[in-house]
Amino acid sequence: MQSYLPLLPFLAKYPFLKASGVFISEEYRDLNEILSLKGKFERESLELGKCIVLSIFDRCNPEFEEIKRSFICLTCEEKGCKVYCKKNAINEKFDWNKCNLCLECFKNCMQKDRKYVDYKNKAKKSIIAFIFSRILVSSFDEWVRRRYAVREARRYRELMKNESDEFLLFLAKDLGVKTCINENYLVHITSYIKASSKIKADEWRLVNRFIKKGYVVLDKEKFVRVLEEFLKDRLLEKFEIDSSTKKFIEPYIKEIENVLAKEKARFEKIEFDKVDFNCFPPCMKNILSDLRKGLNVPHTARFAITSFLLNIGLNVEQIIDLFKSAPDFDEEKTRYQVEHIAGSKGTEYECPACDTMKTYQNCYENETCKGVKHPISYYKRCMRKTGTKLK
Amino acid sequence: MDELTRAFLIKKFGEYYKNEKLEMPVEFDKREWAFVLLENLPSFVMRRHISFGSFQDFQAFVTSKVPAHIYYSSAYYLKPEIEKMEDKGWIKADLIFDVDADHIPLKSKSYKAALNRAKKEIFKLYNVLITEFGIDEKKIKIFFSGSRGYHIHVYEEDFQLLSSGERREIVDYLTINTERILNGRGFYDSLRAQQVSKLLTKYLKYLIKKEKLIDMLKAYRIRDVERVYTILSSSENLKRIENGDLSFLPKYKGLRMLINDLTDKILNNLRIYIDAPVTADVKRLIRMPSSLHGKTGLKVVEIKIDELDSFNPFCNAVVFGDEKVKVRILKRASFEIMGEKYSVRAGEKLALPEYAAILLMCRGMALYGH
Repeated sequence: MQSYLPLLPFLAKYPFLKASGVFISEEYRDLNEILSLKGKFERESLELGKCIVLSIFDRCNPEFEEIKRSFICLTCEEKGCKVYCKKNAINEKFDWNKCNLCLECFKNCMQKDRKYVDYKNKAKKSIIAFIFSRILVSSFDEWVRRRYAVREARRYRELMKNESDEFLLFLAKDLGVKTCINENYLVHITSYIKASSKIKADEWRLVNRFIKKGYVVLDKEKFVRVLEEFLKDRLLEKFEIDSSTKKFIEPYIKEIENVLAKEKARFEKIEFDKVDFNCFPPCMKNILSDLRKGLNVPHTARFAITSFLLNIGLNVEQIIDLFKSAPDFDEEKTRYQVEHIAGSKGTEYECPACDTMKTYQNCYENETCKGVKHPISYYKRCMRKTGTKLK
Repeated sequence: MDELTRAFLIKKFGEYYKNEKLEMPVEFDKREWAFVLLENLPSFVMRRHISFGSFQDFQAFVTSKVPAHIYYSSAYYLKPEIEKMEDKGWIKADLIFDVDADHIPLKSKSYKAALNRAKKEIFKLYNVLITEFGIDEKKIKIFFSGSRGYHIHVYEEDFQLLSSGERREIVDYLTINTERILNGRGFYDSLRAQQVSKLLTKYLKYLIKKEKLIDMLKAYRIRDVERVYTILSSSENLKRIENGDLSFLPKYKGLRMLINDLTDKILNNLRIYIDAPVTADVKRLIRMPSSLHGKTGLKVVEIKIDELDSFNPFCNAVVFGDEKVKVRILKRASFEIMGEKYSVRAGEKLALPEYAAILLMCRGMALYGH
C-alpha cells in the first residue's frame, strides 16, 4: 500500500500541516533519531532547514523541490478509503466539517503511483527541514521567531493562492479555521475576527464586511490571507527542545548568531548612520521595535515614524528598508507612501506633535518626555544634551 | 441606612435566598464569585476571588452572609479563587451584552420610556445575533438587570474563546463604528452599507408618497429643486440608490447634506446601543441571574424573547409579598409597582406593601419603622 499518497505533494509543499507530524512520526522514532542520522539525505534536509532560517535575513536562498501532482482524490472515483472514515465525511466530495483529521483515509489510500518513493523522500526532506527551522528559531529572541513566522507565512500564502478550493478547505481545517466554500469563500465570524483583528486595514473590520448567517463573505485572496494569519500563529509557537537536541544544534546556532550580529549592525548602521537611536523618544523607539518584530503597526504610527525619520534626515530608501519586516509589506505601495510623505508629491509632512500621537494611541510617554510637546524637539534636546552636533 | 432598616433587609433577602430556587450558571465551579454584603452597606465593599465547589457551599454562603449584590465572572478559570488575575488560568468567557438605559440617547427622562427603549435595543441585538451572527437561539439568554436595563448572555463556544481585542470587533460591528458607509460615489460594499442604502430608498419613497420630498429639498436650499426632484423620484434611479449607487446625482452641496443627514438618521436607528466595555471585557463580573438587585430588591429574571415586549419589571421581577410594612419616607418619590401608583413625600409615615417598602429602602428613600 502507498500510504498517504494523495497528501505527499502537499506535505512537501506545506510541511506545517498537522498531517506532516503524523506522517513523519511513522518514518522516524523521534526527533533525536532524525538529528543523529548521518546520511546524506538527513544532512541535506537539515541544511535546508538552516537555509530557511537564514533566508528570513536574505542570507540564503532555499530551493524547494516540488511534486507536480494535483490532489488526486478529486478525480478518484473508487473512494475505497471511505470505509476507514468513522465520521462519514467522504462522499462525492469531502465534508471537512465532519472530518476530525484522523487521516486514516489517506493512510489507507488504494491508489498507486510509480514515483511513490520519490514523493515520499521529497515530503520527508521538506518536513525535516521545516521542523529543524522551527527548532532553530525557537532558540532565539521573540523578534526572530516573529520575523520567521511573518516571512514564512507570507511565502506559503503565495503558494496557497494557486490551490484548488477543495484543498484550501483541507488547509483551513488543518489550521483550525471554520469555513465553508460554495459560490463564495466563507469564513465563520469568530475565525474571521481572530485573523482580522491583527490586520490594520479598514476594509478588514468586521463592520465593513458582508456577513451571512454567521459567515463573512470573502474572495479567494482574502480567504487565503485569513489562512496566513492562522498559519503565522502556528509558526510563532515555540518549539520546546531537550538538552541533547540543544547540544546538537549548537554549531547551527553559532552560524546564525553571526548572521544576526551582522544584521543587527546593518540595521543600526544603515538606518541610523547619521542619527542617534538612543535619542529617539519612547514613542518612536516603540514603533521601530514593533516594526522589527514584524508586528502589524497601525497606519498612523507608520506615518509618524516615517515623517519623524525624514525630518531628522533619513532618506526614502533607508525607511523602506525598515518596513520590510512588516507582515503586509508591499514594496511598491510602501515606496509610494514614503515618497508621498517625503514630499515628492508636493508637500513635505511634519512629524505629528505629542497631542496627535496621544489621540491615535501611539504615545508611550515616560519621565524623559517632561516638557516636550513634539517628538522632534525631544530628539533635538537629547542630541544637544549628549553634545552631538545636529547636521 | 440605619441599623433597623439594614436588619430588615437582611432578614428579607435572607429568606429569599433560603427559599428561592437559585439558577446557578453553567460550570459555576470554574467561575470567580463576588459579593457586596448588606451588612456593609451603604459602603460598597466587594468581596471577590471566591469560588464554590458545590451548590450547597454557595447556598450556605448566601444565606449566612446575605449579599445585596451577587456577581460571578463571565470567565471560566482553572483556579477562580486566586487573587492575581494573571494566575487564575483563563479558559474562556461568555459573550456578554449590557443594554442599559444610561447608555442610550433618550428624549424623555422617564423610567418607563428608558426601559422600553432598552427593550427595543435588545430586540435589535437579538435579531442580529440570530440572523447575522448565526448563533443558535438556545445559546442566547436574556435577563432583566434588576435595575435600568437588560443583559444578553451568549454561551456558544466559538464566541466564548474570543479575546478582548477580538470582541471589540463585535462591538464596532454592532455600534456601526466605521467611516466606511458612504462616499462621494455611493455606498460601500458591506452588509451595513447595503442595509442603509435600502432603508434610504424606502425612506425616499415614503417622502415622495407623502409629498414631503419637495419641501425637504427646499429646506436644504438645493438648486433646481424641480430637476433634482425628477431625478430622485424616477423608479429607475431609486433602484440605483437601493443598489448603493449615488454617482448619478447632481453634485450639489445641499443634496449631499440631505443624503448625509438621512444616512445618519438611519444609522442611528440601526446601531445598537450597548455598553462597549462590558462586551470587550473577558473577565467581567456580571450580576447573577435569579439574584436580587440590592438597589431595587427586584429579581434578575430571565425573559424569553416572546415575553420581552410585555415584560414589566415592576410586576414580573417583584418577589416580595404585600404584607404591610411601616416606613418613614426620606425623599419624595413617584412610582408604580404591582399595578398600583404611589406618590410619597419626605417625612410621611406610611404602611406600604412589603415590595414597595423594600424598593424604597433599597433606594435609600425610606427607613424601616415609624
